[in-house]
Amino acid sequence: MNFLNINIKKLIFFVFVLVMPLITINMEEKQNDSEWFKQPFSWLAGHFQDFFYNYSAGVKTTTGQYLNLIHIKKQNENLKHQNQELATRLLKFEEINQENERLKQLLTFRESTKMDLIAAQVIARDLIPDHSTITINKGTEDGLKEGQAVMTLQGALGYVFKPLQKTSHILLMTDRYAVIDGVIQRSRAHGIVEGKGKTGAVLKYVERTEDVRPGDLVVTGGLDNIFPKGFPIAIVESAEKKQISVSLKVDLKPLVDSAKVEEVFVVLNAKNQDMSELIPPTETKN
Amino acid sequence: MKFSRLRVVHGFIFFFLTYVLCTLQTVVWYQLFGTWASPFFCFILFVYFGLDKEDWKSVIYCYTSIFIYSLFTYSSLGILMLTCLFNYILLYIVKNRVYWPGAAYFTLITGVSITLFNVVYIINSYLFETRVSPLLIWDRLFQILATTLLAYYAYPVIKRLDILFKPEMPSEVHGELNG
Repeated sequence: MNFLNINIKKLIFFVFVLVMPLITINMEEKQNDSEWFKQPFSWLAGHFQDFFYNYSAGVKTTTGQYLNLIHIKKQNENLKHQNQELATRLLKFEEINQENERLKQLLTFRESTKMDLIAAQVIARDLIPDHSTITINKGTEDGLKEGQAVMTLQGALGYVFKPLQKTSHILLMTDRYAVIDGVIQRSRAHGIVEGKGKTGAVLKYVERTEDVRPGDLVVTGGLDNIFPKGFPIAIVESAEKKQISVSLKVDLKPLVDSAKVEEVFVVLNAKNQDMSELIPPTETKN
Repeated sequence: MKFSRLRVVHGFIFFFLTYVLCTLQTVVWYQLFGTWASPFFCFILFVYFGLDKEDWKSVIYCYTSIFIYSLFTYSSLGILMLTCLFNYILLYIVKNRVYWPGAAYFTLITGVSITLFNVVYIINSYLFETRVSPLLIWDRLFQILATTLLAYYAYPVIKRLDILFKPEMPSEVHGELNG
């Protein structure tokens, strides 16, 4: 049957090869007709691309993240270190700021009085817990002598009892051996302020007939030649008339919390300053 | 170094150490913890010398250390001396009856000594002072516990320092007999 001895399979193949591009060209010329044919393939291609893009993007991101982790870890450590440094600096800054505020107040006080004052810092406390003493960083080479008054802006604190060359020991008014001449500011009732340990002080030898009320301010009387007259010492906590005693039992709460004191003033020369000129009389709190 | 010179160095080291411990208690502790009660650092050295040294040496050291304590406090030297005398007597009696070297024994005796110190101090204050010492129970209790605990860890350090600067007796000269 095959007269020309032609390989039919080969022929079909060649025809197919030649015809396919022609058909394609023809179809491209009639774009609207070819849409239906292309669409499923395009859809599939699109999804393939999308899938592979997402996959490769995922791999790329994960790999990138993994590679970045080492860098991030290092950066994190650096940032942590920086953060700690900044936090420390901030703390230091706040501390300096507070100190600055305190020193500013001290300076204002120093300028408002005619007394010769010297500022000092508290550096130590007593070796035995039952004595209330502190040590300051000023001594005889700064002009400190035994018996000079030590105070803060809030009130009287104590007096110098052992001045050394570079430091001085201060007996706080709360110590059981501390004695300060005191006056009730409102009624001018006189007494002696004595320490009674860590907690506070008492006003002794106040006559029974005197008018003393809780909340009254006790100021220095000035007779002890230590403190300038009229400097605040403590607030009356309670005043009790005992049956058998000739004097009142007056408990005091010191105005200065000696546990929190950091900077103090030592009065080198009081120059007869009457502090009541600077501190206005206060009303009884109760 | 000569034996006498070594002895001076040894004494000086512990004299200096007492100063350091007193300063640590009054300054460093205060700066770190404020007015919170502190352990009696220097008292540990007092107990160590009271227990570990020969009689005359321990007496000299103990009384010197009390003198140093008095420089850091308003307490009178007399009250401190009297209080520590009782402590010294306790140490003397105890070491001549029961003694075994080691941190446990030292800690035990320090605990008893510091308790006795506080009790005797209050009694002395009631007997001899015009203004009596406040009880301050919590402060004293903390001091007793903290000092006792600290003694356990301080003992090896003090012992090492003591051995390091210990003045050795010169060894005898050994000669050879000829003939």
